[in-house]
Amino acid sequence: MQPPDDISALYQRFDGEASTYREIQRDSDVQAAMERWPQALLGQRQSNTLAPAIEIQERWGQPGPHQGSSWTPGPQAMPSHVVAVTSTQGGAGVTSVTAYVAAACKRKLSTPVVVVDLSTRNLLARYAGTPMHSCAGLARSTLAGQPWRDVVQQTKQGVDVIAQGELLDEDRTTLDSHISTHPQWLAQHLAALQLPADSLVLLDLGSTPTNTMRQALRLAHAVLAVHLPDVASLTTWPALERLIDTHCSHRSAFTGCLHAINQVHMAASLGKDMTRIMRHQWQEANVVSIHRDEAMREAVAHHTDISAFAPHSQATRDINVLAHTLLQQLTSDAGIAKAAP
Amino acid sequence: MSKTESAFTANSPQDSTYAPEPTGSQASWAERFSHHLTTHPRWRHPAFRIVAVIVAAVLLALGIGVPLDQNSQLIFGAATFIAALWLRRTAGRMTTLAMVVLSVTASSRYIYWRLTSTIGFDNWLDAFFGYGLVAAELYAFAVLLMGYFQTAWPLKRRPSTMPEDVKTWPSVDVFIPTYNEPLDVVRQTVFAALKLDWPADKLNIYVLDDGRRDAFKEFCHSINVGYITRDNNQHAKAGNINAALLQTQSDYVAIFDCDHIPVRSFLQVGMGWFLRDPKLAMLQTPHVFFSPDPFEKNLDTFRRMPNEGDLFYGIVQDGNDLWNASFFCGSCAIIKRAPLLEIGGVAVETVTEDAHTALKLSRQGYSTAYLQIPQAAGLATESLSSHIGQRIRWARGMAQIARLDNPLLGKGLKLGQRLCYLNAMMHFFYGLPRLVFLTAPLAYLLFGAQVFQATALLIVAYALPHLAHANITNSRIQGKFRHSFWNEVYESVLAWYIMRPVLAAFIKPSAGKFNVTAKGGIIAKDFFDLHIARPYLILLGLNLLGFAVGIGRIFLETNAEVDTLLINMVWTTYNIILAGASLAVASETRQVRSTPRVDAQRPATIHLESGHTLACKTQNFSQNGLSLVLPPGAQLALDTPVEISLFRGEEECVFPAKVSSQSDNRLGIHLEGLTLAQQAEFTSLTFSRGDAWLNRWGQTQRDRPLRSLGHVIATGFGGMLHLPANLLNSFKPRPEAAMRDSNGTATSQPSSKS
Repeated sequence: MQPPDDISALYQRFDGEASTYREIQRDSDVQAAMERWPQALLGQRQSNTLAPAIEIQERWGQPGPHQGSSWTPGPQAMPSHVVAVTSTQGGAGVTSVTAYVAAACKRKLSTPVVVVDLSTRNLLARYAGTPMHSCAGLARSTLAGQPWRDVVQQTKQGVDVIAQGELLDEDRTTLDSHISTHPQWLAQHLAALQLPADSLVLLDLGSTPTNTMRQALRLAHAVLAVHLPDVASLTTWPALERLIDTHCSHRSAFTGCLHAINQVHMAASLGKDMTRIMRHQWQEANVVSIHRDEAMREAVAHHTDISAFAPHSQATRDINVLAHTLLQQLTSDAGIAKAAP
Repeated sequence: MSKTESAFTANSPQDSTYAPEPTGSQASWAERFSHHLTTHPRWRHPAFRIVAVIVAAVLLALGIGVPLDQNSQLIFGAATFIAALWLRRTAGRMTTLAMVVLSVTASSRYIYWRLTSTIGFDNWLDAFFGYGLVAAELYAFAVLLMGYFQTAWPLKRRPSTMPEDVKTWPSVDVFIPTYNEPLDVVRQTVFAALKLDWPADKLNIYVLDDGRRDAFKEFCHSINVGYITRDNNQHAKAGNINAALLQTQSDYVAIFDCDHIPVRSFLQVGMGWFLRDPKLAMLQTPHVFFSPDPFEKNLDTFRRMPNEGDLFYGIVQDGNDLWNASFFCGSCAIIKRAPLLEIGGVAVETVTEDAHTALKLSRQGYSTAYLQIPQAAGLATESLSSHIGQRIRWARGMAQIARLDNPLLGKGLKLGQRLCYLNAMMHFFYGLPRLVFLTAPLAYLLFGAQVFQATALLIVAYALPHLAHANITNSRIQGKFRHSFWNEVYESVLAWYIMRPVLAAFIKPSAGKFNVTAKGGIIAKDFFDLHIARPYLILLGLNLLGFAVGIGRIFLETNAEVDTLLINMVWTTYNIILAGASLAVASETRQVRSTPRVDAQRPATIHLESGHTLACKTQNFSQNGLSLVLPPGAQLALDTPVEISLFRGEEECVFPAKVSSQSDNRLGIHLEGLTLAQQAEFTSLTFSRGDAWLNRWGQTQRDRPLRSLGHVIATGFGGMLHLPANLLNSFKPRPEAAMRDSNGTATSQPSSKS
């Protein structure tokens, strides 16, 4: 974790090592927060004590290097920056964060930024602000055996959106079983997009662990986990963490999990404490707060991007920080070194 | 000097030796040359050292003593000054030392010539003024030499890192002595103390209330802070601290004047040296002020020019540190309890208990240290009269120490320590010499006294190198913390006021007080302090008269000594400027706010009741409000309730507030309804950020002597220009009530200030 800006500036003045500074007040604030909500970490502790053998025996197959290597597509076709966006609970804002972060990244990049809606609710197109009159999307294209490139739509910000699209229920079942029986489904379709190697692809995974999510995690170079500052996110995090550990952490190209705490408001007692506890828990990783802001929802209602709708809002600033942090993580020396082989 | 050596080892890697290896393109030729010269292995042999000292002494004696005629002296003086100007262009401490040698030589040469060739007075009038001037010059010469000794090599100590295991950290009592300061001021300091990053079980905070006020007691109880009183007020602040020492027991005591707000890193930055040097008994940090002192306020130089105190905390204390003679300054310092108790607590024999305490610790063989990192900030005295009152107290105390516990005498001190303390003491005797300099040319202009038995041009040939070398050398040493010629202004303002108390205290240390009344409070209206300005008016009048008489004598007197008259008139002109500048300082500028604002550009967020947010920046903050810069187009109505987020790294706190003003894109925010915890958080995100005062410290423009002279001249003429209007106004009746702050937010309180 970075030392806070005031300590960095102070220690820089006398060539001191800012990392030796002890954040005693912050630590005691975290301690106090944990004491105020003794139940908050309860569920977490219990799931941490689960034996790992149980999950590994799930029906969708063995994780591990031999499967990962068989999926690795050719470098000329596979984008090198794939980000899986998921969350610890429904309603945390995965889709809006995906859409807005993609737009913010696009403003910083000249290469393609592609968002792919892998959640069944088909909301990404709405959040990204592309036309939504057709029911076309990757679901229908998959069943029809057609390339996803045909359903790409561009937003005003220049983000390429691949919507999920609408399906009848019986078609949905067919698609599900197709995905279950084709472990390279996602990899092949992404490769078939024939994107330039340095493109950025954001996969909106929703919050439910499905086979789609597992396929996505196996490809991801980074995971963006969206949380709410509440007990539910804290409680379900270990389950998501295990999923990430299983499918991502062993791969050298994986740069780590980036956390976004959504709808933060540091005046509310519970929210403030949960934010502190989460930041403390994830202090080894990048954590970004997205402040509670009505503009997040209003932008969707206006079918536009947050930075266009409320350019001076704190939410826009936070989304920009998140995009910046994400790109930095993906392209940092460690990240590049990991991604290169 | 084991302590000094250990301090140097801390400064690794760059500063690890006295003559660090100059590397890279930044090292000047002078540094490389001097490094090569000083690190030569031959110096290890004592014979070479002795020979070098003898050669240097002979050369110095020649430079000082060889008499020259007028033209040769002119050429000699010009040549050495050009050499100094040339040296000045190169960086490095060795160049500074070389310039000091040139300056000392030029000044010694002048003084030697002065004593051997200019004193042959014919009559008692000449002798009276002549010897008077010589005495004043000798004083100035001694202070110059000791000043070089003190400041030639500032130690520049760096913090020592704390051990990783927090459990080994010592316990600390934070003392916040107060007497009659308003609670509003003290609260900030207490909140900041609560937010110090130090293990809670090893940190005790005590408000030492000599005012025994119920509101203070209540406040302390409400936030779980110790509250200590005693049944008398003997020995003021020193007695207050000593009484508290009896009721507390931590290993260390950190002392903050009640208006000095520590930053959160204070203890972690300052305590490391105690763990490293077991003999260390006291560590002092600079006093930084976030409100302008009367000079800065009345001359509008706040944050544009180093202030009066900056020289002491910027250079002198760091120089003292080399000689293990850092002074305790009463606040923003850490003292080890055991040695403090060993010397009987804080000294009570003199009114400068702080410096005297450090002296006593030094006598017991303990070390003292100075860390030039601003880790606390406070309020400066508001009015010139209270400022003068404070300086009188310091001057009296120093004179008392000189009499009661003279650092030249007694046991336990090293020579360096004795000299540092002696200079600190002698410094406060400048009152009389300064007044002599301010009136000296009048002796010739008005009374025709021949105070110099030499021709005018010869005087110039000797005196000019002396003054010019001293100026550029001091400008090089002090340039970041004192601008040229301002020392004369500060001394001129104070000379009359500290002269009498210092002499009286020196003659009779127990003599009564000479304090002028400290009015305190904010200055609600512009006004001219005629009472304070009286001596400056007299000095101005005398020098103007002298100048006029000089002109008259040039034109009316047959065989007038025009060159002597001109020299004295130039001197008089300089004195007129100093008197004018003093008058400008006495012209009190109205103070707009009762709570000073501190500039700081940092991110902030406005949360509106509608659930929307605005990302913005702070412009400045004060104790109970903020000024924000809004994004373009944003508008907020007056009295709109909002919440404001402030940040420090990943830390964020939200504060309830109301819009109090808007103009263009500036939004005034008034905090409202904060809980005590929120107030403490607000302090910790503003006043007590670790870096809060870094940009206040040594960051003003560096001195350029001629520009600074221009500034002093402009100030002097400004003071005279406004004098007629000021005088007129000051005869109008002034409502005394306007001097007092109705809200009780007045802060200046000499009794608790050091």
